[in-house]
Amino acid sequence: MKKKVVSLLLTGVMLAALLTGCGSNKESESSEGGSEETKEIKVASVNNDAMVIMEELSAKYTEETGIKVTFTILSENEIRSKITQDVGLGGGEYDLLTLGTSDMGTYLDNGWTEALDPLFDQLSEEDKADYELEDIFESVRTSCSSETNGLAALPFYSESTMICYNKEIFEEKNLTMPENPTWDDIYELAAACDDKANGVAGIAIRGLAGYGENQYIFGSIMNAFGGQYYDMEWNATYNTEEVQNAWEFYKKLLTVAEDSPTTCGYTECLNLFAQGKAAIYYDATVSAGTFAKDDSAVKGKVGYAPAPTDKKENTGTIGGWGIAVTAGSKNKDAAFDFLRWATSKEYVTLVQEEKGFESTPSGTRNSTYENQEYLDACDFAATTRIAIETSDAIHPAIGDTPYTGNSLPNLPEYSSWGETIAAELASYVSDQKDLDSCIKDCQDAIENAAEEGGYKN
Amino acid sequence: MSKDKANVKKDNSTRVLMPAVIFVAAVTQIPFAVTIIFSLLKWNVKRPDLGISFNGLQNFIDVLTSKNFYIVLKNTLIIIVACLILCTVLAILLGVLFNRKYPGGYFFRTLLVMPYFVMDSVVGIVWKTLLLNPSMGLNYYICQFFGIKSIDFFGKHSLLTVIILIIWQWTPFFFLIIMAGLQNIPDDVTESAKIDGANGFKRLILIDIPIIKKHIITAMTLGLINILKVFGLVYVTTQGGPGVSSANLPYLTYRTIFYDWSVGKAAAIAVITVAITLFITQKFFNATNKDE
Repeated sequence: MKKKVVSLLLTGVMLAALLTGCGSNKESESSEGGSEETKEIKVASVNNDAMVIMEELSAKYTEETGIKVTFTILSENEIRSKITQDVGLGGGEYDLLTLGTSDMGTYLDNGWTEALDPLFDQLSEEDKADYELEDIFESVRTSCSSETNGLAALPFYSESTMICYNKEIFEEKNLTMPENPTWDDIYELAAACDDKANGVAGIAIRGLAGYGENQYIFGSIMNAFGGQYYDMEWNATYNTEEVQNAWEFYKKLLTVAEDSPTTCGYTECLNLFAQGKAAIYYDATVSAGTFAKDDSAVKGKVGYAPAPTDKKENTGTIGGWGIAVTAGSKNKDAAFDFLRWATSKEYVTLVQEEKGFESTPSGTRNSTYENQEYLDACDFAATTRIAIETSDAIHPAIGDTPYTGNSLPNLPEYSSWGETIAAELASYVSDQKDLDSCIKDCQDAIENAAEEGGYKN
Repeated sequence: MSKDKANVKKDNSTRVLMPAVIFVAAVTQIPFAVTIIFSLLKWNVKRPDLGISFNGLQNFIDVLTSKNFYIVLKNTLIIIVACLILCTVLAILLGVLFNRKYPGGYFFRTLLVMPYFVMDSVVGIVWKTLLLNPSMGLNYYICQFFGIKSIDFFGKHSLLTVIILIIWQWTPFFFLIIMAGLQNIPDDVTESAKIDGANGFKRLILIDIPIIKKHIITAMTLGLINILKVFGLVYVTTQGGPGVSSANLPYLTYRTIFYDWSVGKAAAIAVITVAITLFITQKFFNATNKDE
């Protein structure tokens, strides 16, 4: 009898455990985008400072409209992965996504996000005039668009790349940054400043393997040296002398960079320079805002210069993060409304009032750079504007390319072979593999991607 | 007659066990069966225009003819062998050290086992950013004190560093099991060995280790299965790099699905990983139970 009771109890417990995963209809509905009843929209966002500020200030949007905005904020690698899983595998959890420039066109072409041109067409003339889409830099609008389906996302902040240097260290060493430096100039200056024994690296530059990490920077170096990934017939062109020269130069540059460069990505390099532990910094223009904050050891000590050149004159990247409406969103109107709010001129003003000029979402609107107060408060603004306006995402290389997007090509397979290049590059600079083997493996990966992806048909 | 009646009495154990068997089968075998199905498909998540098609064994062929797979397999085997041996030896030595009463013994034993209870991704973050960071971590300050360049642990010595961190985290697990064995050794066996003139080393080798052999095998078997699965630590510290020099099979599976977005190839790697795991654990089990 006792055994029967025990076995019945155990059966009951196991059945209860088995059924625990079955939620109620109400719960599963609210997990698919926001809930219609409570007017809630869900945003998947990268954890950059600007987005964290957006999360904080979204409370004001909720006060005005009654629409609740909830955020999932993760690091770059994780959010890219989570977003692709969600839209690619039909999860439908989010209404809005933050996307990098290399993903925006792909996601729209795949039918994962909503084309924005038709949504803008439906607005009243008054709303269109309020938002003023033409105020956004043309190069930025282009970077946020698909070649065939138009505007894919609205830019939250945009960035190019530029040189930041510590004026104090340069003065001590009696050095001058040229107005338009070449990569050889940067190496010589970094070598002159490199003093790692006393805790100062010549240059802080990404070495951490990742298609969005070291490849974001190295891609621009490769473009500068005259390299490219494919010719117009989609044959891989990675095993050229130009690309080889870029690899050798990058490895040489890392000898005067921070210690253990293959462990240093964007965040580590940003912190190194902000703490005064590097004389030169080459990375995203948006970093300048961090260096201008009160807790930065280099506040007021930073000089700026355009992205270095070599064979190619114009080498600044165009990147940044935009926000797109998911195709599966059940709250497209609310999502588009919040999207316009978060990328509007009024939002820029709100951030400046609440967080200071150095936190302004940069690189998106002409009107931001016509604000004299902003220009006076942020000495990096002028260089940033020039970098963004002159960047060319359509012609990333010296030669013609069948792909667009400098630094991060706008190709769905880029995350795969880009990661291979990133890993091989890290192997090479760590002396774990020779140059020829690395280049060959990269060439094979790029070529296979074109064949398997049907680009050559 | 009464004996037949006793034999005829119903055995209900099968029926009682069925709910548990069904539950375990559903939770473990269905996902594995689905993984096997996925491994036969050609499916790139980022190219919905290419659709999902049957690919036969091509994914397995691609994986087994890939240079990187064999590098990763070699890394995985090195990690397993090195970690198993060193964790076991360290656990035995620590077990002998702590198998006595002295002031503060319980406190230090608690400190010793704490690494096992920390998530491996947290272990990775702490070691990478606070301790071994060459620019701002303890590594930098210690090397500066000695006047040498900071050691590039995660760049030039990535696999070795990953092995050290796994040993640091998993030795407490081995220690707990082996310590339980040591504490159950009868005192009279130890006393009679002392009377016979056996010193500490001889008692350890000739008496203690043979007695706790089953505990050691249990620790190594469970440790083998768990160390094979280590992922968080690799992901957070080296991301399998530089290149694939510190990648193991779980990390390779992750990279194939979340960077290449190739569901079929990732599933093929997962199936191969399970097959290798079963093979190694079976061989290990047979080797350690040869005498029985």
